[in-house]
This record gives sequence, C-alpha cells and structure tokens, in this order.
Amino acid sequence: MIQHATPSLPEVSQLANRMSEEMGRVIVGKPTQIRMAVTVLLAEGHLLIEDVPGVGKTVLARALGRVIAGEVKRIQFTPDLLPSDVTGVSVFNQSTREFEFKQGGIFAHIVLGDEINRASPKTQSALLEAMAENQVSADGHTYRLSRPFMVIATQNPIEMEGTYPLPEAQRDRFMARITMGYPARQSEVAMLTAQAGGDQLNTVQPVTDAATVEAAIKAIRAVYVAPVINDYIVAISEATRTHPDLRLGASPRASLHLMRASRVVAALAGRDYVIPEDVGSLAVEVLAHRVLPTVEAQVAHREPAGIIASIVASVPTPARG
Amino acid sequence: MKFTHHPFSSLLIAVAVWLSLLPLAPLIEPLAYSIESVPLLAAAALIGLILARMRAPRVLTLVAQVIALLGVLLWRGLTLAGPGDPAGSLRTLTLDGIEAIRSQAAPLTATPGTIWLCLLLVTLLIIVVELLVNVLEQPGWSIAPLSLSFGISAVILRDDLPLFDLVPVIGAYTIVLLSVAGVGPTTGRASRQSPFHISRVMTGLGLASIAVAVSLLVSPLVPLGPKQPWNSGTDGPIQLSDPLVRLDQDLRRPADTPVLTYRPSTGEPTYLRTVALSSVTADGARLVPMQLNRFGLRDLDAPPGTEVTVETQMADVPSEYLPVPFAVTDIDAAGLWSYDPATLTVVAAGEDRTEQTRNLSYTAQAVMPNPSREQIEAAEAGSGLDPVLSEVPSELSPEVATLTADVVGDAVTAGQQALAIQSFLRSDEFTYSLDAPSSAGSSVIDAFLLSDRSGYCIHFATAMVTMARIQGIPARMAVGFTPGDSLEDGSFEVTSHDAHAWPELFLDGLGWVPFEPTPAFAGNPGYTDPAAQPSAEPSQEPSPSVPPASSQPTVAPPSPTATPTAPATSSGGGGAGLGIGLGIVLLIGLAFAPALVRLGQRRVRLRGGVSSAEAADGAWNETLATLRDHGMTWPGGSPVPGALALSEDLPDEAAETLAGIAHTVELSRYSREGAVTGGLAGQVRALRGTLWGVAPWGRRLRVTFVPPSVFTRSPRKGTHATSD
Repeated sequence: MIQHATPSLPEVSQLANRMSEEMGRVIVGKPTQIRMAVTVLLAEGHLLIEDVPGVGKTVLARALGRVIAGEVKRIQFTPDLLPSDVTGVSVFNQSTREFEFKQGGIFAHIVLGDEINRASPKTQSALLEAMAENQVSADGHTYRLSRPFMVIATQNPIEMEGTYPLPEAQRDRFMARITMGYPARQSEVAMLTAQAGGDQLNTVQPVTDAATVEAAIKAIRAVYVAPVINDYIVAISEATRTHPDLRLGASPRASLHLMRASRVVAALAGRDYVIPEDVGSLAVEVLAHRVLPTVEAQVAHREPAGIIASIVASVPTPARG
Repeated sequence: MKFTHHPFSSLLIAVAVWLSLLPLAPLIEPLAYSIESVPLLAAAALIGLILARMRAPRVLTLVAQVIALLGVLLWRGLTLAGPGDPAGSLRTLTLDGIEAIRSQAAPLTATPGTIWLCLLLVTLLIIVVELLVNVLEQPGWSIAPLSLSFGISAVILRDDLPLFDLVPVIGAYTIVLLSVAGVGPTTGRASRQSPFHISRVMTGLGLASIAVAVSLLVSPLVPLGPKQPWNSGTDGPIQLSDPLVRLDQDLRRPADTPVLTYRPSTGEPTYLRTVALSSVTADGARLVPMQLNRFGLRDLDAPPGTEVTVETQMADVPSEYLPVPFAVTDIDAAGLWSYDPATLTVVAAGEDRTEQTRNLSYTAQAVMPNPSREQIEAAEAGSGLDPVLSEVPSELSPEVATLTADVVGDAVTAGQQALAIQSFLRSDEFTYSLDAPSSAGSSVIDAFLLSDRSGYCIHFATAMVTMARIQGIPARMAVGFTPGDSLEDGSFEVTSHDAHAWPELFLDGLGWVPFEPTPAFAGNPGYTDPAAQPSAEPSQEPSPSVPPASSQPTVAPPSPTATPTAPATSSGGGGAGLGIGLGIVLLIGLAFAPALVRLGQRRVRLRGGVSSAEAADGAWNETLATLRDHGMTWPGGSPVPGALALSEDLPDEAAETLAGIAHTVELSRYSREGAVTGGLAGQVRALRGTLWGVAPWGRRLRVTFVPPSVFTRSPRKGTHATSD
C-alpha cells in the first residue's frame, strides 16, 4: 500500500500496527521495544538500545529497516573506526579528474550503529553530529541524508570491557533509550525453533515504504499539543533538574524530544491531541538515559528510571492553563 | 512537591475570624476586638497572600504567619503596657485583663488588659483556623474555632444573646468552606473572572441567608426549657436573675402567698438571706460575678456569732437561690448546690437549677453575727475587700455627702457612724411606702434622702449602703426575707410579702454585720426597731456569745427574695430557653451547612451561560466531587484514562456516562478545537442519579449531610491546575 498524500491519523495508527506486527514475527515477546522503535522512527528521533550482547538488538534494527523497505546500513563501531568511515570521504577520481564523495555508512534510512561505545569519542561525535543535523558536510559540500532517517545505536553496558561510555551530551541526542532484556523462556525456545528453518529476518516482509513513512511523519507533526501540555512537559523536565537524587537533569532538548514522542503516542492512539498520559507513558524511556544520579542515589541503588517514574507521579496532571 | 494555595485563602480566613468575633459584642466594648484585631488579621492575611502567591509550602506560610502575629501581638502588648520590663508588663497586662473579667459585669470596658486578652484570643483563632484549613486541610473543623466567640457569649449570656449573633458565625463558616471546597479548585485564573467570582459570593450570601432563615423557622418549634447543657457544671459562669426584680414583684403583688416555713434551732425568728448585691452604683444595686464553688463551704473562716440550725420547707416556689441564714456554714439539701465565698450566696447548680427549690426540704447551719452594741461602736471599718464594695455611686447629688456628714455628726468609729445612719433612716422623717419608684438609682436615692423621704426596703437599704460607703465603710445590699410569722408549733411562716432587702456593712473584727434601716415593715417584727433595743441595730445582741438572745435585727436577712427571683428567671426563662434553642439551632444549622454548601457548589459548577472551558471545568469538578461523595477514589491522571481505570468499580450505566463526560472534558482541555459542552451538565446529573440509585441508605445519608467532597480538598493530582 503506497500513498504519498498525507494519511489520516487512523491510517497512521494502522500503519504502525502493521509494522509492529510484522516485526513481532521475528522479535518474539518484545512488543514494548518494538512499539518504542516504531514510535521513535515516526517522531524523527534516534534510538539507543542498551543491553548485553546477543539479546536481539541488531535484529530489531534490521527488522525495522525491512518493514519500511528502507535501506539499512550497519556500522560496526570498533576502536579503530574513523569518522570518515561513518560520514564518507572525498576521493580523487582519476578518470573524471574530480573529487568524488564516497558516502559513508550513515547514508541510509536506518543506520545501525553497533556497539557504539566501542568507538573512539571522535568517531562517536561524527555520527552524532550527523544525527543532529540530518546532513553531512565534506569538502565544502553538504550532503543530505535519507528521509526518513533513524540511527539505532546499540551500546553494551558501560561496565563491560573495552568500552568508551557515551558522554552525556551525546546521549542527549538520542530520543529514547530502551533495553531489550532476556527473552522469556518460551520466547527463547520459540526463537530457537524458528531459527532452525533459516534466518527468520529474511522472512520479514515490507509493509510500507520510506515515502509513506515520511508522509506519516508529516501527518503526526499536525497533532495538537495544548499549551498546558507543554507546561506539563517542562514541569517534568524542571523537576528532574531540582530532584535531590539527580546531579544532572533533563535538557531543553529532552523536553522537545518528549513532546515529539508524545505526539506519536497520541497519533497511534487515534487522537489528534496530546493528553498528559501520552507524556507520562514515555517519560522514562525519553528521560532516563539523560540524567545522572548522585553518588548517594547510586549507592542506594536508586536507578534513574525509578526516579523519573516517581517524578512523573508527583508532578500534578494539568487541567487547564 | 509543589503546593497550590487558594489564592485568597488567608484573606478569607481573616474576614471569617473577624466575623466570628462579632458575637462578643454584648461582653466587651467592640473597640477591644473589632478594631484592635485588624492589625493582627491584616498581618496574617498579607503574609498568607504573598506566600501563597510565591507558592511557598503551607507549613512555611503558617510559620511565617505565626511569627508575624507574635510580632504584632508583642508590639501591641508593649504599647498597651507602656514602658517597663517587657515580660513583667505583659504579665501585668494579662492579670489586669483577667481581673477585669472577674470583677466587672458585662460588657467589659476596653482597658489595656481586656484588649490584650482579646488580641490573644484573635491570634489563637487565626492560627488554629489557618492550621485547620491550609495545613491540615480539614476546613470542616474550622467551625470549632469560629464558633468559640459565640460559645463564650452563649455560656455567659444565655438569656441575652440575640439569635442574630449566629449570622456572623454561619457567615464565617460559609466563607471558609467556600474558599476551599468551593467552586474554585479549577484554577485561580478562571476564578478571578468576575462573573465566576460574583456568583461565588452570591452563593455564600444565599447559603447564609438560608441558614438563618432555617434557624428562625426552627427555633419556635424547639421545646425551650430552662435546661441548658452548659449549666450542668457549677464552676462555670452562671447567669443569675436579678433578685431585686423579684423582690419588687413580691412586695407589690396583692396576694400574699406562702414561700416557706422554717424552724430555727434557737427558736428565734431569723432573717433568711438569698443573695447579696455587692455592686451599688448610679443604676442601683446589682450582682457581681460570683466565684461559685461546690465544696469547702464548711471550711471557711466564720466570724464570731451565734450558731443556728434552720430546717426549712419550701413551698412550690422556684428559685435558683437558697434562702439560708447569714453566715451559712453548711447546707444539707437535695440537688447540686454551689456557693459564692465572697457573699455566701447559695446557688443551685443542678440541671433544673431555676426550679431547684420547689417543695425542697433542707437544713442549713449558720453562724449569725450578733455583736453587742459596744462591739459595734468600737469597730472600725474593715478593709481588704474588692474595691467595688467601697465604690460610692456616681451621679449622686453632693448634698447627700453633706447630709451624711450631718447625720454622722461627731461619731468617731465606723460602728458609731453606721448606727447613726441607721437611726437616721429609721427616724420619723422617713415613711415606708411601696408607692416609691422601684428603681434605686442615684437620682431616686437623691430624692429619697433629700426630699421625698418615702420608700421601701430597697431604698432604705440602698441609702444606708450609699451613706456608709461615703463614710468609707464597705457595704453591700442583702436580699432575702424578714423572719415572717410565728406558727403554733414553733416554726415560722414566710410569705412573699416578707421579701426584704437590707444593708450589710463590713466592720473590722466583726466581719459583715447586717443592719436594719427600714422602719416598721408590714409583718416585720419589732426587734428591728432600734428604739426598742438601743443596742441592737441590725444584729447586735448585747452579748455576742448568748445564742438564744438574738437573732434579731442583725441576722435576719435573707429570705424569699430568691423565691421571687425564680419566677424572674423563668420569665426571662423564655430567654433562658432561648439559650438551648440557640444551641439546637446552631446544631441544625451545622447539620445542614455541608448539604447547603454542596448544593451551592453543584449549582455554580453546572450553571449555564459560561464559556465552554469553564463549563467543562465546572462539570469535571462536580463529577469528581460526586464520585468522591460516593466513596470512589479518583485514580489520578487526566479524565479519560482515569475514567477508564475507575469504570470497573462503577455500574455499567454510570461508567458509560462517566466516559462520555471524561471524553468531552478531555477534548475541551487538550484538543485544538475544544468541545461542545452543552450536554455536560445533564450528563453529570445523570451520573449522580445513577450512583444515587445504586447507593445504600447509609451512603445516601452520608452523601446528603456529610458529603466527603465538602470536608476534604480534592486531591491535588488530577484536579488542580498548575495555575500560573
């Protein structure tokens, strides 16, 4: 089904459901993570998946690329990866006697940055700048990235060996962070059974195309966010900045991301306006990776996710500004 | 955690506290509380307003208010007290105030001491109301502090407190309830818009009028009787009827009805006294507040005198005072009785106190003073008493003083002077006549002493008290009965015409000595005539120690005045009953107040003619209140998700209605286009009807009379705006 006219919100909702269903065929038992990935895609954000190796981070990214029939590129981040490997490099073409730009790994609809925290900070920042600006500049030329464009970066927990933890400023550029978690026992068994018949990922069928997704994104931008909701979002962000357990709170960019993600949630629920619960349902995923707990909170095992959840519970739900 | 304050809460509380002070009007000059309290109220309101505006935590606001109040209080106290050691002068101020309350009759004048006490009261009220409303969020209980002033007045002035004084209390309570539970939890901004604001005020006024109207309608239906809940204890202040009114009525009543018969152990006729009036002023003689005790009568130090035991049988005559010989040392009577140590007045303290003497049979022991003439002539004026006993009535003609000086002549001692005054009043220059005016104010006494020289016991007694005080002798007026007529069996019968008043003078070493300045008094035995017994003025027997000799003039006083008093009480007793009526009305008013407030809220929230946003907010607040009334706890969050979470606990029909309301409100709040709110009020009423329909009876009663939504604030989450 291909349509380039701006789809209605129910159509957007149906589209998202179809994408989720199709991805769910290969990623068993992880509907929330799938839903989050779709949401971030439609909200024009980037997704950080943080978990131990082998729980399906890469599969999630590839499945998402396949269902939108988009180009997927994978960049394996290693300590010796150079920035130009990510963005591309201009090489001299002997035959045309001109410099030609050879596109790096970032030129795709879905870019899978695998184990991003194994690369040097310099390379990490090259990726992140491209993410923020949706374009790459090289040798005086500006090259626009594909639309839609989404980076799914995976990161091993920072305690693991050989990692350069992402700086706060760079984590801030990801709209949301999710963890995969180990599958439930039955899901794992089902996965083994399915894999016996070959790589399941190849069976994932596109349910839409990049242009349709772009149109859906455009439709979602029209979802109404009442001033009182913006106020609510900022109140939550402000609360993270004054919370005694946090030494670094959420940035204004975090507020912006939260607002955009909330719009998608509202649209997927078939509404053309955001309600406070849309905001609250995303706050942990959108905010938790951006804040830094104090040493005391860490010692007491008060995790950022729990702190954010308690903040959301304590900020009064807005009625009317 | 952010706190949201009702923007004007503190101001409204200040107004309410001020209103609640108004029933003090009969007790103390208005200046002492109405104007003096303004700086305190203003300080509390100002701090409250500013800190609410700054969204300070409420506890902090209260602390700031307390500090400000104490500052203002200290400043005013020190200016009232004048220069000097601060702690000491505040203490003196307090003691002055307490002394004024103890010694003065209502209304108290606005002295520094009484003003100080009023300010303490106001401070306490503000703090307690603020605590209840803004910190504990229990506005319903603010009725307790707000009705304190009314309660004080009701206890002290049970006869005289106008029903109208309930209005400010109800008004104050209504203001507090509306300020918190009111229409307002929506948002400060909306509530400040004028139509909304005015309608809230109108609701308040309407509710107050309804409450008063209900009170007025109900009060005649309430059986009024002399029983008053606050009279069961004796140590509290008791409103006593005016004994002189009864005395007058008894003396002037054509029919001479029996009051009591008594049998004295001495066999001698005895004056029976009911009460002593310590205050003799330009307006005549009056009671001063008594310090009623129930125990310890027999332990009091009695001045020397003749011991006598009197067995008395009362007729069917109601009174709150017990006729006993002076000075009574013990009584044995059914029912609860208390006594005033200063005057040895015995006052009923039981439930039917004004009826307590009916057909009562009792025994009283007394030590009747009977000093010899020599002892009296040798005695100087006593001292160390309450100044009110030495106060010469004002507005007295100066010629009275001249006359007194003439009468006293060269008498040296107070005793000689007293005897001279008594002789003068008993002389032929005066005639006994019931035609004299019943008042014994200064002008009447002027006329009595200077021109008419005609009157009856009250005038003779007042004249002697006045002249004695001019000579510096403390004096008071005793009221009671003359000894009455001897019966065959050795007892005496006292009738209403034996009602009498006589002076008692305080002489050094002798204590209170009764005198008898009234010449021949119908039915009065001749022993009161000094001519017959040169030595005996009122009470003195030649030999103090001889018991049989004397109960005469001196000791005889007290008698049935009290009895007459009783009727006075019950005639004012309609008024006495008014007390309990007021109490009941107050209770009924209280019982209906939450229901009325709730009704008013509903009407305002669901009214038409407002913007769609206001209609949605009003309807939503009413929905939440309705759910709370019916015991549902709002799960929090915005309307639709909350309604969904709640729907499992609701009957299907109600859940459906609630979902509809929630959807409309959600559209109104969050969507770009807003919502059509026309049908909202109907839906809310339908929801209420459905919930009511399935509610058990107990719940319905509760919903009607103690709607939880009136007594608790709506939970902040989900209903309060983040306002500005």
